This record gives sequence, structure tokens and C-alpha cells, in this order.
Amino acid sequence: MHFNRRDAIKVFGAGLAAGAIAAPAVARAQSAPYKLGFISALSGPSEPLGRPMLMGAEIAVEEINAAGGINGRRLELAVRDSKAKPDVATVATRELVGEGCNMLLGTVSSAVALAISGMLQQENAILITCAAHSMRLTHENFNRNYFRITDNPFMRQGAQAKLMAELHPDVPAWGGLIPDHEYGRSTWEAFKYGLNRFYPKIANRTPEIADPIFTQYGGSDYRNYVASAMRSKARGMFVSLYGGDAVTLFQQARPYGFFEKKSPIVDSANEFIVARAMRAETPDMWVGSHWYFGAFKGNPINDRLYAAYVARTGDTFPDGFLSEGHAAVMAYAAALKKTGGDASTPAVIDALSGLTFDSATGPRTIRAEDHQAIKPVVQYRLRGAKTPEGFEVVDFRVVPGAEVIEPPTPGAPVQW
Amino acid sequence: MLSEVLPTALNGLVWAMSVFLVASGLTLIFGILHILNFSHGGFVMIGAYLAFTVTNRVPGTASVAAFLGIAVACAAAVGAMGLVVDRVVFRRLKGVDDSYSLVATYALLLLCEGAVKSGWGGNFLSMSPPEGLGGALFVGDLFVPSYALFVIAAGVAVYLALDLWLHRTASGRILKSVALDPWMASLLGINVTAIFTVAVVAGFALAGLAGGLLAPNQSLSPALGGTYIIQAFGVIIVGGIGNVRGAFLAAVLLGLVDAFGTVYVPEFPGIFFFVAVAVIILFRPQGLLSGIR
Repeated sequence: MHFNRRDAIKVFGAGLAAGAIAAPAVARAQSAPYKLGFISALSGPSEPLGRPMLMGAEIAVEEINAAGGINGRRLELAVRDSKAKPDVATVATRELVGEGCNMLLGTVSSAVALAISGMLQQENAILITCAAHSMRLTHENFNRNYFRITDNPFMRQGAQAKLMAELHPDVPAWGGLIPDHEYGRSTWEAFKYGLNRFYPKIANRTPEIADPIFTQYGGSDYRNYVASAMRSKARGMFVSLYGGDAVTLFQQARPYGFFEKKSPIVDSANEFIVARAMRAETPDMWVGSHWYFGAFKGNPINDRLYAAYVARTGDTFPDGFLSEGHAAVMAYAAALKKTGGDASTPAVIDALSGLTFDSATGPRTIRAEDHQAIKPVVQYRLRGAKTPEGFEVVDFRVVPGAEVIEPPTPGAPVQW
Repeated sequence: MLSEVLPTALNGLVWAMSVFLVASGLTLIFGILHILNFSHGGFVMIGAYLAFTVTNRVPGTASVAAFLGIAVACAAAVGAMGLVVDRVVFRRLKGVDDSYSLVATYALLLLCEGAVKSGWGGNFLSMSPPEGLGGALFVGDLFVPSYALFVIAAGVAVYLALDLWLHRTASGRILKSVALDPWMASLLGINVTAIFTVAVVAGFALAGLAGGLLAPNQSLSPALGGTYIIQAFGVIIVGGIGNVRGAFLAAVLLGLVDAFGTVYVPEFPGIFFFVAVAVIILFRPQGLLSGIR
């Protein structure tokens, strides 16, 4: 084929034209924002949990963008409401992936997290969960595209049992009021395991553990469960009812003298939710939390996050979900820095595995084996008080995550 | 043994009467208008939130008398809402397929939830019983929370009042006659539309009263509308839909079954209510009592 000067000019001209068209597209790709898909309960009974999680993620995105973004590119949040329902969440996940969000974060409910986790590889997406506590997520149902940024029941309830052995070595008899679902049963398993692990070591005695009292989920009357607990010989009581169910239980337990006879009370995870509802009637109890701002004063990320929350809401007691939404964005930001800007799913998974990044609770490391974060476990002692909020934090403890985390066994159940 | 049986029975009765308080308005409206009002729980919730707000905002409302007065005021307020709902929604549902009633009343429930969320927010709230009902009574070895006794007494009082109204008064008899045959009642000169309105307002007032009386019984949240409604539907179905006596009887029966099941078979909490409903419907699909009574 003869290639003359005229042909060369044509090819050169076509090349110039193509370049003129393609150049802005390349420039756009290089400056286009990284899209993160946020999915959590933003309506329905779990809304009070999902909203602060979203706010934490928004604050992190604003902070990062104000500081120039990641690799010169901004972060952008696309938000979907899961209504804490797995079927709604899976549809929302496909929508987000369809919009170009392969990096997802959020979720309150374990059922939602399990549903999304199961479709991640097929959708070529990644999910960092901020609160879902099912042990199965990092064990039986583990897959490489899933990450948990917060603690799990093995860590949380283990730390609570350890603290009780330290503070109340004279109370070896324990019982539990446990909601009859997977989360409730796994919290009890973890607390019981923790009692058997730490009481002999710390209190030098074997704990006496009564059979737990399983309660109805979403019930309106817990009096018979309270009466059964009152008949039990257990003095210490572990309660893992959540939200409105916990408020109803505590309300109905008070006239029985429950809080005088059963002490200490350990609440698995209600943050300030019960105290905000019950105010001066809040029982004296140790509460498990994702984050307590007072425990990390002096950490600049903690202080900035708390100040941003107070400025936005006027409330001075944020729930820990705020820091977990924030931490998930921080994890993606650190991973994107590590990849040098490559936001493809395999690159981000590799970057997140084994990643250490900074958060409101200090540095966190995502374990490479099972993608479980090693983070501090936070507990505080709450009670009703004559303060403007109607309650006060009397004490708090932070247990390093490495002291209470389970061995990684991805693909296999946790060994109790 | 007795020390376990009596408190269990008592707790079963507290559950029964709290559910009956909610179910009474539901069954009354169905008995007269033949509309299954899915929004009923939503109006119970509005009654509870109104009681919460008045109790917290108005000083000097800590006494039992004030608590009762607030509950009656909630009944009046929600009854007035019933008047609007009757004019705007229920009158349009006469003679149409049941599915339209279902959609319309479900939409009303969503409206109630939205209104509560806008007015009070999505956080959980709680309210204490009034002074004098916060403690407990000791009857021998039996330990009884005062508020639990109050709920039982309130349920029985509402039942007796409704029963007397329906069976011993002229207006009650007119109401029953309209329920049985509105066409014949209209031929006899009874203003059937007005009677329907009376039934709706009474049903909504009962929802408001239940909300006011039960506000200290459980946490408040925009999901409260659904907390009692499944049990209330179970009670009115087992009792015979539209039958107040049947609802009372069914509430007591199901409350006791659920309470003893919970205590003696603790591995399956909350399941006995549903098992009992299923078994009773299997043998008496028309309910324990039928027709408006």
C-alpha cells in the first residue's frame, strides 16, 4: 500500500481531531471525583443509628475535600436508604454500582451487611461496614470484598467481661436478657466466653453463669422476662436488647426493684440511645460503644469530628455511629493514597488489606487475613443525673483491640 | 409454684388489657363500618406523643388525676381527628372493594408516622408513670407494680363502659341496628351517616385514650404504631371481628397463653400468641363470638 504525503496529512489531521475530542475526557477522568456509595438505614426504626453514621461520613468528605482531596481529586458521596431491609439494600447496592460507585460503606443491620456482602464479588464492588456486628461476616461468610471498620461481639463483649472481672471480682454470678435473634445470641456467646476467660485470670474464681432469658424482638411487654430475671440467682446482668426494646424493658423493670437487686448492669451497645430517651430515669450501667468523644480528647481527628457534630446539631453527646461513618471514609482515603489514585476494585481491596489509618479513636489496622479492624473497644458508665441532658457519663474505659480480638479464621466459624 | 403462677397470670392480664385498649376502637369501627382500619395504631401513637408533650411541657401534671385528665384530652383530640378522617377518607370507602380500604388506611398510617417524625423527631422517647403509680404494691408475697394494676383497671373500665353503652343505652342500640342493617335503619328514620360518624369518632377517641394511658408503658418512636397492632388484629380476629365482648375475652385468653408460654417454654419467646391465634382460627374461623356485641 502506497502512503503519500496527502495520506499522512489526513492521518495527522484525524489524530489531532481525535485528540481534541479525547483530551477533555482524559482531563475529566483525572479530575473527576472519587464516588463513594453510602448505604444505611435512613428511615424506619433504625434511622437514629443510620443518620449519625451518614453525618460522620459527610464530615469526613468535607474535611478531605477542604484539604485538597485525594491525589488532587475530590470525594463525592452518593447516598441510599436501606431501610434496614436486605431486599431494599440489595436493590440500592446495584443502583450505586450502576452509577459508578464500586466503593461502598455504611450499614447498621447485620442482615443487610450479609445480603450485600454476598453480592459484592458479582458486582465487582467493595463494602466497608460501620456497625453490623454479625461474626459470620468475617468468618463463615467471609469474602475478600468485605471489610469491617468497627469492633465485633468477640471484641466488644470480651472487653465488657474483662472489665467486669476487674471491677466486680466479687460478682461471679451472671445472667442475661437477650433478644432472640442472631445478634442477641452472638453477643451472649461472646460475653459468656469472656466471663469464662477473664474471671479465672483476673478475679481468680470461676464464674457462675445462669441460662440467659431470651426475649421477644420488638415486644411491647417485657414484664415476664423481668420477673424471670428477678427469680434468677444471677446478680450481674448482661442486656443486649436494642433501642426502643431496651427502653421499654428498663421502663418496665424499674418498679420491680430490678436495678437495686441486679448490679452491675452491662448494656451491649446502646450508646446514648437509652439515656437520651430515659434521661433522669436512666439506670446506672456500663454501655458498650463504637466511640466516646470524651475518651479520645487531644486526638485532633476526634476533636474536629466532635466540634463539627456539635456545630451541626447542637447536641453534645454524639453516638459512636458518627465516628464509624467518618472512619470508613478515612479508610478509603488512605487506601486511595496508597494505590496512587487507582480506584479499581482489586487495587482498593489490596490497599485496604493490612492498612493502618488514623481515625477519631486513633490508629486502626484492618487485618489482612479476615478484614476485621483492630480498634480500641470503648465502654462508659452512664446514669441519670440532674444535668441539662438528664444523664451523665461517670467513667469510661478503653481496651486496646489487640488484647481482645479473636484469631482470624476467615471461612470458618469463630471458636468459642 | 403459686409464687410463679400468680405474677405470670398478672403480667398476662397487663398485656391483655393494654392490647384490648388498642383493639377496642379497631373492633368498634369494623363492627359498624366494616372497614379494617390499618391506621389505628398510628392514631394510638399520636395519642401517646400528645400525652408525652403535655406531661413534659405543662407543670403540675405529675398526679394520677392529671394523667387521667391528659389521657381524656388525648382521646378528645384524636376523636376530632377521626371526624376529619371520616369526612375526607372513610365516607369515600363505602361500597368499594376492601382493597381500597386497605390502601387508604395504610396511607393514613404512613401519614401518622410522617407527622410524628416531623413533630417529634425519630429518636426514642420515654415517659414515666405519674406519681403514685411508679412504685409497687405487696400483696403477701406477691409483688405488683402499681402502673400494671392501673392498666388492668383501665382495660376493664373501658370494656364495661363500652359494653354498657352498646347494650344498655338507646344510642348504643341504634349503633348496633345500623351495623346489622343500615338500609332498614335508614327506612326507620335513623341518620345512618351521622351514626357512622359517631362510630368513627368513638373508635378514634378510644385510640387516643389508649395512647394516653399506655404512653408510660413502652418507649415512644415513630414505629410505635406497629407495636401493638399485630396483637390487636389477632385479638379482634380471635374475638370475632366487630365484637367488643369477643375482643375482651380473646385479649384475656391470648394474654394468659402468651404469658405462661413465655415463662414455661422460654426457648420460644413470643411465639405462643401466634400459635394460639392459629389454633383458635382453625377451629373457630368466625372467632369466639360473632356479630357486633
